[in-house]
Amino acid sequence: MKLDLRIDGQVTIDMKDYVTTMIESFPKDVLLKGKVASPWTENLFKVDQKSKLLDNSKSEQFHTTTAQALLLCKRGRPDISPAVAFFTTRVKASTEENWNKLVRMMQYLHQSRDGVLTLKADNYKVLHWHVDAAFAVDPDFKSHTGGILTMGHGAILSYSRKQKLL
Amino acid sequence: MVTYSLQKGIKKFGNKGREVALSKMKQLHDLECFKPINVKDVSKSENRKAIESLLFLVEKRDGRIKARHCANRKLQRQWMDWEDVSSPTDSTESTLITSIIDAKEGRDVGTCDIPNAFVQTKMNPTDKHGDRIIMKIRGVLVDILCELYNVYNDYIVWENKGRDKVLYTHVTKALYGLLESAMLFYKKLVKDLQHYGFELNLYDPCVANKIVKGNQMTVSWHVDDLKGSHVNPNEIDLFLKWVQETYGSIAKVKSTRGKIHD
Repeated sequence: MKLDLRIDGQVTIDMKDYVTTMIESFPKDVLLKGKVASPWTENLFKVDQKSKLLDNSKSEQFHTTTAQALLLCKRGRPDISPAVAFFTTRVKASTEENWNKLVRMMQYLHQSRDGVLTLKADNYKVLHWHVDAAFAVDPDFKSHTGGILTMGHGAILSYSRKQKLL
Repeated sequence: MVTYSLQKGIKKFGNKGREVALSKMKQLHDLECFKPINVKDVSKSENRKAIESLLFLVEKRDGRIKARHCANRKLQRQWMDWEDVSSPTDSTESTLITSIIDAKEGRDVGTCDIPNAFVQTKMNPTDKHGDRIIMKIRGVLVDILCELYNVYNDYIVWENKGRDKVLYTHVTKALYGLLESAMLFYKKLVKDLQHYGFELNLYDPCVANKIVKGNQMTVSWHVDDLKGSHVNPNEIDLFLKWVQETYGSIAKVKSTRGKIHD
Protein backbone atom coordinates (compact mmCIF):
# COMPACT_ATOMS: atom_id res chain seq x y z
CA MET A 1 0.00 0.00 0.00
CA LYS A 2 1.48 3.33 -1.08
CA LEU A 3 0.41 6.66 0.35
CA ASP A 4 0.85 9.35 -2.29
CA LEU A 5 0.70 12.97 -1.08
CA ARG A 6 2.04 14.65 -4.23
CA ILE A 7 -1.14 16.59 -4.91
CA ASP A 8 -1.85 19.26 -2.31
CA GLY A 9 -4.80 18.56 -0.07
CA GLN A 10 -5.32 14.93 -1.02
CA VAL A 11 -3.85 11.52 -0.41
CA THR A 12 -4.17 8.57 -2.78
CA ILE A 13 -4.04 4.99 -1.60
CA ASP A 14 -2.24 3.06 -4.30
CA MET A 15 -2.63 -0.73 -4.38
CA LYS A 16 -1.69 -1.14 -8.07
CA ASP A 17 1.18 -3.54 -7.36
CA TYR A 18 -1.11 -5.73 -5.29
CA VAL A 19 -3.81 -5.74 -8.01
CA THR A 20 -1.16 -6.72 -10.57
CA THR A 21 -0.09 -9.64 -8.34
CA MET A 22 -3.73 -10.76 -8.08
CA ILE A 23 -4.19 -10.55 -11.84
CA GLU A 24 -0.97 -12.48 -12.49
CA SER A 25 -2.05 -15.30 -10.20
CA PHE A 26 -5.44 -15.63 -11.94
CA PRO A 27 -6.04 -17.60 -15.20
CA LYS A 28 -5.26 -15.13 -17.98
CA ASP A 29 -7.49 -16.59 -20.68
CA VAL A 30 -10.72 -15.67 -18.85
CA LEU A 31 -9.55 -12.18 -17.93
CA LEU A 32 -9.24 -11.04 -21.51
CA LYS A 33 -12.57 -12.48 -22.68
CA GLY A 34 -14.75 -9.40 -22.42
CA LYS A 35 -15.27 -5.90 -21.08
CA VAL A 36 -17.40 -5.28 -18.02
CA ALA A 37 -18.78 -2.02 -16.66
CA SER A 38 -19.03 -3.06 -13.01
CA PRO A 39 -17.59 -5.73 -10.69
CA TRP A 40 -20.99 -7.43 -10.31
CA THR A 41 -24.54 -7.46 -11.70
CA GLU A 42 -27.92 -7.33 -9.99
CA ASN A 43 -27.74 -11.15 -9.78
CA LEU A 44 -24.81 -11.06 -7.34
CA PHE A 45 -26.78 -12.44 -4.39
CA LYS A 46 -28.90 -14.89 -6.41
CA VAL A 47 -27.67 -18.45 -6.06
CA ASP A 48 -28.35 -21.21 -8.57
CA GLN A 49 -28.75 -24.33 -6.41
CA LYS A 50 -28.23 -26.58 -9.45
CA SER A 51 -24.84 -25.16 -10.34
CA LYS A 52 -21.98 -27.70 -10.20
CA LEU A 53 -19.34 -27.55 -7.47
CA LEU A 54 -15.91 -26.43 -8.63
CA ASP A 55 -13.10 -28.96 -8.98
CA ASN A 56 -10.27 -28.81 -6.43
CA SER A 57 -7.85 -26.56 -8.30
CA LYS A 58 -10.55 -24.05 -9.29
CA SER A 59 -11.95 -24.12 -5.76
CA GLU A 60 -8.50 -23.35 -4.34
CA GLN A 61 -8.10 -20.49 -6.83
CA PHE A 62 -11.54 -19.18 -5.79
CA HIS A 63 -10.51 -19.24 -2.12
CA THR A 64 -7.13 -17.60 -2.76
CA THR A 65 -8.53 -14.81 -4.93
CA THR A 66 -11.32 -14.14 -2.41
CA ALA A 67 -8.77 -13.81 0.42
CA GLN A 68 -6.63 -11.48 -1.69
CA ALA A 69 -9.67 -9.39 -2.63
CA LEU A 70 -10.72 -9.18 1.03
CA LEU A 71 -7.46 -7.41 1.89
CA LEU A 72 -7.68 -5.21 -1.21
CA CYS A 73 -11.24 -3.99 -0.56
CA LYS A 74 -10.33 -2.89 2.98
CA ARG A 75 -7.58 -0.61 1.71
CA GLY A 76 -7.37 0.88 -1.76
CA ARG A 77 -10.34 -0.66 -3.61
CA PRO A 78 -13.58 -0.45 -1.62
CA ASP A 79 -15.51 -0.57 -4.93
CA ILE A 80 -15.36 -4.37 -4.94
CA SER A 81 -16.64 -4.78 -1.36
CA PRO A 82 -20.17 -6.17 -2.06
CA ALA A 83 -18.77 -8.83 -4.40
CA VAL A 84 -16.14 -9.82 -1.85
CA ALA A 85 -18.78 -9.97 0.90
CA PHE A 86 -20.68 -12.50 -1.22
CA PHE A 87 -17.62 -14.57 -2.20
CA THR A 88 -16.52 -14.94 1.43
CA THR A 89 -19.80 -16.78 2.13
CA ARG A 90 -19.17 -19.20 -0.77
CA VAL A 91 -15.57 -20.38 -0.30
CA LYS A 92 -16.48 -23.68 1.34
CA ALA A 93 -18.78 -24.81 -1.46
CA SER A 94 -18.02 -22.65 -4.46
CA THR A 95 -19.85 -23.42 -7.68
CA GLU A 96 -19.41 -22.70 -11.38
CA GLU A 97 -21.92 -19.86 -11.00
CA ASN A 98 -19.84 -18.31 -8.20
CA TRP A 99 -16.74 -18.73 -10.35
CA ASN A 100 -18.33 -16.74 -13.19
CA LYS A 101 -19.10 -13.94 -10.73
CA LEU A 102 -15.49 -14.01 -9.51
CA VAL A 103 -14.27 -13.87 -13.10
CA ARG A 104 -16.40 -10.78 -13.66
CA MET A 105 -14.88 -9.06 -10.62
CA MET A 106 -11.39 -9.98 -11.81
CA GLN A 107 -12.14 -8.70 -15.32
CA TYR A 108 -13.26 -5.44 -13.73
CA LEU A 109 -10.05 -5.25 -11.67
CA HIS A 110 -8.01 -6.05 -14.79
CA GLN A 111 -9.66 -3.21 -16.70
CA SER A 112 -9.37 -0.77 -13.80
CA ARG A 113 -5.98 -1.94 -12.50
CA ASP A 114 -4.66 1.64 -12.46
CA GLY A 115 -7.45 2.79 -10.17
CA VAL A 116 -6.48 4.33 -6.83
CA LEU A 117 -8.51 5.55 -3.87
CA THR A 118 -8.37 9.32 -3.47
CA LEU A 119 -9.16 10.79 -0.07
CA LYS A 120 -9.75 14.44 0.77
CA ALA A 121 -11.20 16.26 3.73
CA ASP A 122 -13.67 19.12 3.45
CA ASN A 123 -13.71 19.52 7.19
CA TYR A 124 -11.74 17.01 9.17
CA LYS A 125 -13.50 17.80 12.40
CA VAL A 126 -16.73 16.30 11.04
CA LEU A 127 -16.88 12.67 10.03
CA HIS A 128 -19.81 11.44 7.91
CA TRP A 129 -21.23 7.94 7.98
CA HIS A 130 -23.46 6.83 5.10
CA VAL A 131 -25.28 3.57 5.76
CA ASP A 132 -27.90 1.61 3.83
CA ALA A 133 -29.42 -1.85 3.92
CA ALA A 134 -31.18 -4.18 1.49
CA PHE A 135 -33.84 -6.44 2.96
CA ALA A 136 -33.62 -10.23 2.52
CA VAL A 137 -31.37 -10.23 -0.51
CA ASP A 138 -29.06 -13.06 0.51
CA PRO A 139 -29.86 -16.65 -0.46
CA ASP A 140 -30.84 -17.48 3.13
CA PHE A 141 -33.12 -14.39 3.25
CA LYS A 142 -30.77 -12.46 5.49
CA SER A 143 -30.44 -8.75 4.77
CA HIS A 144 -27.32 -6.95 3.63
CA THR A 145 -25.85 -3.76 5.08
CA GLY A 146 -23.23 -1.42 3.69
CA GLY A 147 -21.69 1.77 4.96
CA ILE A 148 -18.87 4.22 4.41
CA LEU A 149 -17.08 6.72 6.58
CA THR A 150 -15.87 9.85 4.82
CA MET A 151 -14.43 13.27 5.55
CA GLY A 152 -15.82 14.65 2.33
CA HIS A 153 -14.18 12.80 -0.54
CA GLY A 154 -13.50 9.05 -0.67
CA ALA A 155 -14.25 6.22 1.73
CA ILE A 156 -11.85 6.01 4.67
CA LEU A 157 -13.66 2.99 6.01
CA SER A 158 -16.22 0.94 4.14
CA TYR A 159 -18.00 -2.28 4.80
CA SER A 160 -20.51 -4.46 3.05
CA ARG A 161 -21.75 -7.49 4.89
CA LYS A 162 -24.60 -9.89 5.45
CA GLN A 163 -26.59 -9.16 8.59
CA LYS A 164 -26.33 -11.80 11.27
CA LEU A 165 -29.88 -11.75 12.59
CA LEU A 166 -32.29 -10.32 10.03
CA MET B 1 12.28 -15.98 -1.59
CA VAL B 2 12.97 -19.58 -0.51
CA THR B 3 13.40 -20.67 3.11
CA TYR B 4 15.54 -23.65 4.14
CA SER B 5 16.15 -25.32 7.47
CA LEU B 6 19.72 -24.80 8.72
CA GLN B 7 20.91 -28.29 7.73
CA LYS B 8 19.32 -28.15 4.27
CA GLY B 9 20.56 -24.60 3.82
CA ILE B 10 24.16 -25.52 4.65
CA LYS B 11 23.86 -28.48 2.27
CA LYS B 12 22.63 -26.17 -0.49
CA PHE B 13 24.81 -23.11 0.04
CA GLY B 14 27.87 -24.81 1.55
CA ASN B 15 30.38 -22.60 3.33
CA LYS B 16 28.51 -19.41 2.46
CA GLY B 17 25.41 -20.68 4.26
CA ARG B 18 27.46 -21.64 7.31
CA GLU B 19 29.11 -18.21 7.40
CA VAL B 20 25.73 -16.48 7.32
CA ALA B 21 24.51 -18.66 10.21
CA LEU B 22 27.75 -17.95 12.06
CA SER B 23 27.37 -14.20 11.72
CA LYS B 24 23.73 -14.36 12.90
CA MET B 25 24.66 -16.31 16.03
CA LYS B 26 27.55 -13.91 16.65
CA GLN B 27 25.13 -10.99 16.44
CA LEU B 28 22.76 -12.61 18.95
CA HIS B 29 25.66 -13.34 21.30
CA ASP B 30 27.08 -9.81 20.98
CA LEU B 31 23.67 -8.33 21.72
CA GLU B 32 23.47 -10.54 24.82
CA CYS B 33 20.16 -12.03 23.73
CA PHE B 34 20.84 -15.15 25.80
CA LYS B 35 23.43 -16.41 28.25
CA PRO B 36 24.45 -20.02 28.80
CA ILE B 37 23.41 -21.65 32.05
CA ASN B 38 24.23 -24.88 33.79
CA VAL B 39 21.53 -27.48 33.32
CA LYS B 40 21.72 -28.27 37.07
CA ASP B 41 20.42 -24.74 37.78
CA VAL B 42 17.33 -25.25 35.63
CA SER B 43 14.25 -26.09 37.68
CA LYS B 44 11.80 -28.80 36.62
CA SER B 45 9.16 -26.20 35.84
CA GLU B 46 11.61 -24.15 33.72
CA ASN B 47 12.72 -27.27 31.87
CA ARG B 48 9.12 -28.20 31.11
CA LYS B 49 8.54 -24.74 29.60
CA ALA B 50 11.86 -24.62 27.73
CA ILE B 51 11.60 -23.46 24.12
CA GLU B 52 13.65 -24.56 21.14
CA SER B 53 15.93 -22.35 19.09
CA LEU B 54 15.52 -22.42 15.32
CA LEU B 55 17.60 -20.95 12.54
CA PHE B 56 16.54 -20.74 8.90
CA LEU B 57 18.46 -19.71 5.82
CA VAL B 58 16.56 -17.59 3.34
CA GLU B 59 17.55 -17.09 -0.27
CA LYS B 60 16.35 -13.69 -1.41
CA ARG B 61 15.19 -12.89 -4.95
CA ASP B 62 18.44 -11.04 -5.65
CA GLY B 63 20.47 -14.11 -4.64
CA ARG B 64 21.51 -12.88 -1.19
CA ILE B 65 21.38 -15.37 1.66
CA LYS B 66 20.06 -14.25 5.04
CA ALA B 67 19.76 -16.10 8.32
CA ARG B 68 16.62 -15.81 10.37
CA HIS B 69 16.68 -16.85 14.00
CA CYS B 70 13.55 -17.49 15.96
CA ALA B 71 12.37 -19.26 19.06
CA ASN B 72 9.74 -21.94 18.70
CA ARG B 73 6.85 -20.49 20.67
CA LYS B 74 4.56 -23.46 20.17
CA LEU B 75 5.08 -24.66 23.74
CA GLN B 76 4.55 -21.20 25.24
CA ARG B 77 0.86 -21.22 24.32
CA GLN B 78 0.17 -23.80 27.01
CA TRP B 79 1.20 -21.59 29.89
CA MET B 80 0.80 -17.98 28.76
CA ASP B 81 -2.39 -15.96 29.00
CA TRP B 82 -3.73 -14.24 25.91
CA GLU B 83 -3.75 -10.79 27.53
CA ASP B 84 -0.05 -11.06 28.45
CA VAL B 85 1.06 -11.46 24.86
CA SER B 86 -1.41 -9.61 22.62
CA SER B 87 0.15 -6.48 21.19
CA PRO B 88 -2.00 -3.76 19.63
CA THR B 89 -1.46 -2.55 16.07
CA ASP B 90 -2.88 0.53 14.42
CA SER B 91 -6.11 0.21 12.48
CA THR B 92 -6.19 0.85 8.72
CA GLU B 93 -8.58 3.75 9.23
CA SER B 94 -6.13 5.40 11.66
CA THR B 95 -3.45 5.33 8.97
CA LEU B 96 -5.88 6.75 6.42
CA ILE B 97 -7.37 9.42 8.72
CA THR B 98 -3.94 10.64 9.83
CA SER B 99 -2.85 10.72 6.17
CA ILE B 100 -5.88 12.84 5.21
CA ILE B 101 -5.07 15.25 8.02
CA ASP B 102 -1.44 15.34 6.81
CA ALA B 103 -2.69 16.24 3.31
CA LYS B 104 -5.24 18.78 4.51
CA GLU B 105 -2.78 20.61 6.78
CA GLY B 106 0.09 20.30 4.29
CA ARG B 107 2.24 18.41 6.78
CA ASP B 108 5.59 16.92 5.97
CA VAL B 109 5.63 13.15 6.39
CA GLY B 110 8.47 10.84 7.34
CA THR B 111 8.32 7.08 7.69
CA CYS B 112 10.89 4.74 9.17
CA ASP B 113 11.53 1.09 9.87
CA ILE B 114 13.31 0.15 13.11
CA PRO B 115 15.87 -2.59 12.43
CA ASN B 116 16.14 -5.56 14.84
CA ALA B 117 13.38 -4.02 16.90
CA PHE B 118 12.65 -6.97 19.15
CA VAL B 119 16.22 -7.79 20.19
CA GLN B 120 16.60 -4.23 21.46
CA THR B 121 13.95 -5.01 24.06
CA LYS B 122 14.77 -6.61 27.39
CA MET B 123 12.74 -9.59 28.57
CA ASN B 124 11.32 -9.72 32.08
CA PRO B 125 13.79 -11.70 34.24
CA THR B 126 11.08 -14.23 35.12
CA ASP B 127 7.49 -14.91 34.13
CA LYS B 128 4.57 -14.50 36.53
CA HIS B 129 5.25 -17.96 37.99
CA GLY B 130 8.84 -16.96 38.80
CA ASP B 131 10.38 -19.09 36.04
CA ARG B 132 13.08 -17.87 33.68
CA ILE B 133 12.64 -18.36 29.93
CA ILE B 134 14.97 -21.17 28.95
CA MET B 135 15.92 -21.81 25.34
CA LYS B 136 17.54 -25.03 24.20
CA ILE B 137 20.04 -24.72 21.38
CA ARG B 138 20.83 -27.96 19.56
CA GLY B 139 23.03 -29.57 16.94
CA VAL B 140 24.86 -27.45 14.39
CA LEU B 141 23.99 -24.24 16.24
CA VAL B 142 25.88 -25.51 19.31
CA ASP B 143 28.93 -26.23 17.12
CA ILE B 144 28.71 -22.73 15.65
CA LEU B 145 28.48 -21.05 19.08
CA CYS B 146 31.38 -23.12 20.46
CA GLU B 147 33.43 -22.25 17.39
CA LEU B 148 32.81 -18.57 18.04
CA TYR B 149 33.20 -18.48 21.82
CA ASN B 150 34.94 -21.07 24.02
CA VAL B 151 32.74 -20.19 26.99
CA TYR B 152 29.88 -22.29 25.58
CA ASN B 153 31.98 -25.49 25.72
CA ASP B 154 31.55 -25.64 29.49
CA TYR B 155 27.76 -25.78 29.25
CA ILE B 156 27.22 -28.52 26.66
CA VAL B 157 25.07 -31.44 27.77
CA TRP B 158 24.19 -34.63 25.91
CA GLU B 159 20.56 -35.73 25.75
CA ASN B 160 18.59 -38.50 24.08
CA LYS B 161 21.08 -41.23 25.09
CA GLY B 162 24.06 -39.15 24.04
CA ARG B 163 22.79 -38.40 20.53
CA ASP B 164 21.80 -34.73 20.95
CA LYS B 165 24.26 -32.00 21.84
CA VAL B 166 22.30 -29.34 23.76
CA LEU B 167 23.04 -25.93 25.25
CA TYR B 168 20.69 -24.49 27.88
CA THR B 169 20.44 -20.69 27.71
CA HIS B 170 18.54 -18.04 29.62
CA VAL B 171 16.76 -15.67 27.19
CA THR B 172 17.33 -12.02 28.15
CA LYS B 173 16.10 -10.16 25.05
CA ALA B 174 12.79 -10.36 23.18
CA LEU B 175 13.73 -12.84 20.47
CA TYR B 176 11.68 -13.09 17.31
CA GLY B 177 9.24 -15.95 17.78
CA LEU B 178 8.52 -15.52 21.47
CA LEU B 179 4.86 -14.82 22.16
CA GLU B 180 5.48 -11.78 24.35
CA SER B 181 8.13 -10.12 22.14
CA ALA B 182 5.74 -7.89 20.18
CA MET B 183 3.99 -6.78 23.38
CA LEU B 184 7.29 -6.00 25.14
CA PHE B 185 8.50 -3.95 22.17
CA TYR B 186 5.17 -2.09 22.04
CA LYS B 187 5.50 -1.18 25.75
CA LYS B 188 9.09 -0.02 25.25
CA LEU B 189 8.16 2.11 22.23
CA VAL B 190 5.22 3.71 24.06
CA LYS B 191 7.41 4.46 27.09
CA ASP B 192 10.09 6.03 24.86
CA LEU B 193 7.53 8.09 22.93
CA GLN B 194 5.92 9.31 26.16
CA HIS B 195 9.36 10.22 27.48
CA TYR B 196 9.88 12.22 24.26
CA GLY B 197 6.66 14.12 25.00
CA PHE B 198 3.98 12.23 23.07
CA GLU B 199 0.53 11.49 24.44
CA LEU B 200 -1.27 8.33 23.36
CA ASN B 201 -4.49 8.74 21.41
CA LEU B 202 -7.48 7.62 23.47
CA TYR B 203 -9.07 5.63 20.65
CA ASP B 204 -6.10 3.99 18.96
CA PRO B 205 -3.20 2.71 21.10
CA CYS B 206 -0.82 2.98 18.14
CA VAL B 207 -1.32 6.70 17.51
CA ALA B 208 0.33 9.43 19.59
CA ASN B 209 0.38 13.22 19.41
CA LYS B 210 2.63 15.99 20.63
CA ILE B 211 2.43 19.76 20.25
CA VAL B 212 5.69 21.12 18.84
CA LYS B 213 6.07 24.87 18.36
CA GLY B 214 2.30 25.36 18.37
CA ASN B 215 1.56 22.63 15.82
CA GLN B 216 0.64 19.02 16.26
CA MET B 217 3.05 16.20 15.48
CA THR B 218 1.35 12.85 14.96
CA VAL B 219 3.00 9.44 15.05
CA SER B 220 1.26 6.21 14.11
CA TRP B 221 2.94 2.84 13.96
CA HIS B 222 2.54 -0.78 13.05
CA VAL B 223 4.96 -2.88 15.16
CA ASP B 224 8.32 -1.43 14.01
CA ASP B 225 7.15 0.80 11.13
CA LEU B 226 6.53 4.41 12.16
CA LYS B 227 4.91 7.31 10.35
CA GLY B 228 5.37 10.82 11.70
CA SER B 229 3.99 14.12 10.42
CA HIS B 230 4.34 17.83 11.22
CA VAL B 231 3.96 21.04 9.23
CA ASN B 232 7.61 21.87 9.74
CA PRO B 233 9.98 19.44 7.92
CA ASN B 234 12.76 20.27 10.41
CA GLU B 235 10.67 18.80 13.22
CA ILE B 236 10.34 15.54 11.27
CA ASP B 237 14.12 15.55 10.76
CA LEU B 238 14.55 15.94 14.52
CA PHE B 239 12.04 13.16 15.19
CA LEU B 240 13.80 10.77 12.80
CA LYS B 241 17.11 11.70 14.41
CA TRP B 242 15.62 10.79 17.79
CA VAL B 243 14.45 7.42 16.40
CA GLN B 244 17.95 6.81 15.02
CA GLU B 245 19.57 7.67 18.37
CA THR B 246 17.10 5.55 20.35
CA TYR B 247 16.84 2.48 18.12
CA GLY B 248 19.71 2.68 15.65
CA SER B 249 22.52 1.22 17.77
CA ILE B 250 22.59 -2.12 15.89
CA ALA B 251 21.87 -0.91 12.37
CA LYS B 252 20.81 2.33 10.73
CA VAL B 253 17.09 3.13 10.91
CA LYS B 254 15.70 3.09 7.37
CA SER B 255 13.78 6.30 6.90
CA THR B 256 11.84 7.69 3.94
CA ARG B 257 11.08 11.33 3.24
CA GLY B 258 9.09 12.88 0.43
CA LYS B 259 5.56 12.56 -0.82
CA ILE B 260 5.28 8.81 -1.45
CA HIS B 261 5.39 6.29 1.40
CA ASP B 262 5.06 2.51 1.35
